[in-house]
Amino acid sequence: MVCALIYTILTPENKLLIEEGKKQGLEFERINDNQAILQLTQQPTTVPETILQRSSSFTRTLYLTHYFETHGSWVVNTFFSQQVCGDKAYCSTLLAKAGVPTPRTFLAFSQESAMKAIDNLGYPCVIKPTIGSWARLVHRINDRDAAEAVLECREVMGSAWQQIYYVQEHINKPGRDIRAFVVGDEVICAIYRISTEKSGWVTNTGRGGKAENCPLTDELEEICLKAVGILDEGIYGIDIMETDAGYVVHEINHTTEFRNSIAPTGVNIAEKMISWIKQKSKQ
Amino acid sequence: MADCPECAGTIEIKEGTELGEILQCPDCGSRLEVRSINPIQLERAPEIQEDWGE
Repeated sequence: MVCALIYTILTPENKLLIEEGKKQGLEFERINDNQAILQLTQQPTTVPETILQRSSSFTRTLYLTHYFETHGSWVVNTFFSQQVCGDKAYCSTLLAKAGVPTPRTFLAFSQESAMKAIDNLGYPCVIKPTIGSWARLVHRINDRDAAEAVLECREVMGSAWQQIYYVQEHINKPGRDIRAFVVGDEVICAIYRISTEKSGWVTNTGRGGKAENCPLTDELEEICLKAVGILDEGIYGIDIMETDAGYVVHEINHTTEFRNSIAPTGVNIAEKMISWIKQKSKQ
Repeated sequence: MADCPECAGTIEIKEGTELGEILQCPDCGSRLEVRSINPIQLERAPEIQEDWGE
């Protein structure tokens, strides 16, 4: 089997996957997206049968995946899944349609409409870019003054994406949220991401949030599997918040980071990922 | 061992370190990319871009 790894930089996760691949007899052909040139109008002579897509860039991910899928590769995760996971508006729409509990969310395209949506949600609420990562430009809005300030900033930022207003109810989470890992049809482990002085109200471990093991329960596994049901089968990191009424899913990640989750959970996440890819490739 | 190009601190190069790998300087915290293995050459890693991350 010819299996490729698409990446931008050799992150610790990518290194772990390459090492695990070697252990399991899977030698990755490497495709560095910095050096890739896609000859769009020419039929490629060969393409990898299987591709693990680990590009750091969402836009590059989509172009590369679309190209290779079009020419017959099986890409983990698929173009459809990447598109849905990478855009919070698509993801919220599909989660809600599938009956997965998710925070109440509005999408608006002008300052005036966004303010109406915020008034409807009440304070505090949250505004996020539809496309973005590591909680960048995710803001909690505590009052109307803050709302006006954020909306005006967005309006003059210049990027069309900043004028897509995704506003969401604020979930009063208990200083933590949950990141669960799904490989195929199995929830393999989960961590609590605990907010710290460094991370502020956000909990991303990349922003200073602390990781602790979160024991899997039937309820947690059920909501995770229901959430990934909106996507093609693949490898995902699901972000879940605890509320008085139960869990809510607020995001699904298609190129999940996992370096900070191995030690607290004791689960070799890279091993699970590679085993699954090998097993599915044989089918 | 290699010198950090940002602060001249000492960085341990572990066996199995690969071209393109990202290392962090323990002294100044800079993210560095391995640009050459033999001899070891480190350069400041690419800046995180707007659409990077999970």
